[in-house]
Amino acid sequence: MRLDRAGRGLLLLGIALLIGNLLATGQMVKYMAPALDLLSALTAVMLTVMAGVELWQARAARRGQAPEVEPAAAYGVDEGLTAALLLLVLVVGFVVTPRALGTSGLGGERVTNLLLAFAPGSGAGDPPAVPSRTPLDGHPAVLGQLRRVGLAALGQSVRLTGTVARSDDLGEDEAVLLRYAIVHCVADARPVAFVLVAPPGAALPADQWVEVDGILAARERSGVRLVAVEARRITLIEEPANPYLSGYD
Amino acid sequence: MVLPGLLNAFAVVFISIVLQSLPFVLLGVLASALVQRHLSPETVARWLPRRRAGVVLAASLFGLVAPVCDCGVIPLARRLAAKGVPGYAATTFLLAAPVVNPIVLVSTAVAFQGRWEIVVLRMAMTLSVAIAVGLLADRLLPGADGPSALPATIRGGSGAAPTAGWARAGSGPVEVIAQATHEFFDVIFFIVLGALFTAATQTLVPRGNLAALGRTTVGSVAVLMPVATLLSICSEADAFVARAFASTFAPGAVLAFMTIGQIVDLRNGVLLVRTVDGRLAGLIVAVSYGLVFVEGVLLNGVLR
Repeated sequence: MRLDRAGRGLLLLGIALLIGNLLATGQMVKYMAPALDLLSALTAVMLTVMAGVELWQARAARRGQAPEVEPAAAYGVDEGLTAALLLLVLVVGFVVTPRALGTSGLGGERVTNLLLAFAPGSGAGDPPAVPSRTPLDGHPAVLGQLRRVGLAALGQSVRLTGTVARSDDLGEDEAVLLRYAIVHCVADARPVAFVLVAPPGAALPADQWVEVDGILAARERSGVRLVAVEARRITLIEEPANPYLSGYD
Repeated sequence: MVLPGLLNAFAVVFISIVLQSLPFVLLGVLASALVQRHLSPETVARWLPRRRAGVVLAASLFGLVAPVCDCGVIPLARRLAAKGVPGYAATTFLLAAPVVNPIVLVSTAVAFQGRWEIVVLRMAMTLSVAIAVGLLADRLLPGADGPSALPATIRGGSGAAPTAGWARAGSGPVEVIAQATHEFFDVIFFIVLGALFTAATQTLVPRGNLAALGRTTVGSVAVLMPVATLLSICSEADAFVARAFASTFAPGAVLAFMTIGQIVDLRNGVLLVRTVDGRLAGLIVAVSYGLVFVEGVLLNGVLR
């Protein structure tokens, strides 16, 4: 199958519209880090220009003022396959309402293998930090404090948002609070996982988004001190507008 | 439409790779179109040194001023050879230019968050293969045809027809954009296919299995090199796919992935075999696979 200039122009325009739609509806953050929004917008503009040139030349060709797609032998089967693959991108991009990665994003890996742990000797020589009454709000603040003072952060009030992951390896009152950090796009997502110690009787369905108010604690498992959050309150919430931590390394 | 967990993960990873690759693919095809329209091979031939080692070295670095990706390099190499550049030098350019060019080096730096040691090592590995093949081709296969043997009826990945390029009238913005669009439609098939493959790998293959392979010094390189050959991802975008592997695989394996993927890949492999002498194609595959494998393993030992 061959693809004429008009077909190419429409496909390019479709991709530009897809990028524009994702930016306008706020869905781009489900795919890419917000820092790349400007680059994506410029890409859409360039694709629109390319589409305009193709459609203009298609019109000129119909009037006999320009040749149709130059040498016909240039493309073979690939043109049809290219069109099919681009249509697949457009269909998936327009039709699917993207949701953040949950436990399915682990690719079969056991979530308990990914839990954050205190480094051996962490905070051993540091004076104990005085826990602030004001909770550390969000992963960047909590991870920054853990990196700075290690075990001395135990007892610190925190507020964290993430999805719930369950595992048979955990105790009855335990789950995992899971969130992904991305640098550029979801393809490079890395899980950030805390042990979540739930209050008695708390119902925590897997992949449910929750906001947890609690204190930092440690749970010992196989000689490793895992970073835990002892929850005082767990609130079920909708998926946040930006479900990913950006730029965390 | 809301998809269930695994399908959602597959769709989101797939679309995100395509979206992230697009700006760099566009940059590549536009630069390539500009080169094809504005830089004459006669001028390039005049710039070349006279000594063979100098020619090979110059050809290996020529991508710095003629930034074409692996999708556009074959027609350009063929045209250079047709204008008097020796076959072994055109072959060196063919192997080096897709990586040793500013666009790819910057996209690699962006993908790896400014880790310049990755950029430098990627360039060094590519140059080592390109220069080794160039010198060996001159010494072992003096009679072998270089890229100039490209049959006139075959078009390269850039979409540049034998009649296109400098010989064609028109080098204004409209013609450049039209040329870039041709190149885009040749490249994008493999970008989307690579995104599908990567998304499937990430969502269906347990990361524990990949991580177990990825941690071994030799196994990680042995696994990722054929994957790069199968994926055939454009050099402007492959760093972003490689970045996704970086959390699972050792650095030497990731560098080997980015190096071999631009030299021996399924798509250009077909063109390459039809473009150059069979013995030269064999030399390229053997030297590049052997050298990149050894370098990847050594780097795994050093960078751990």
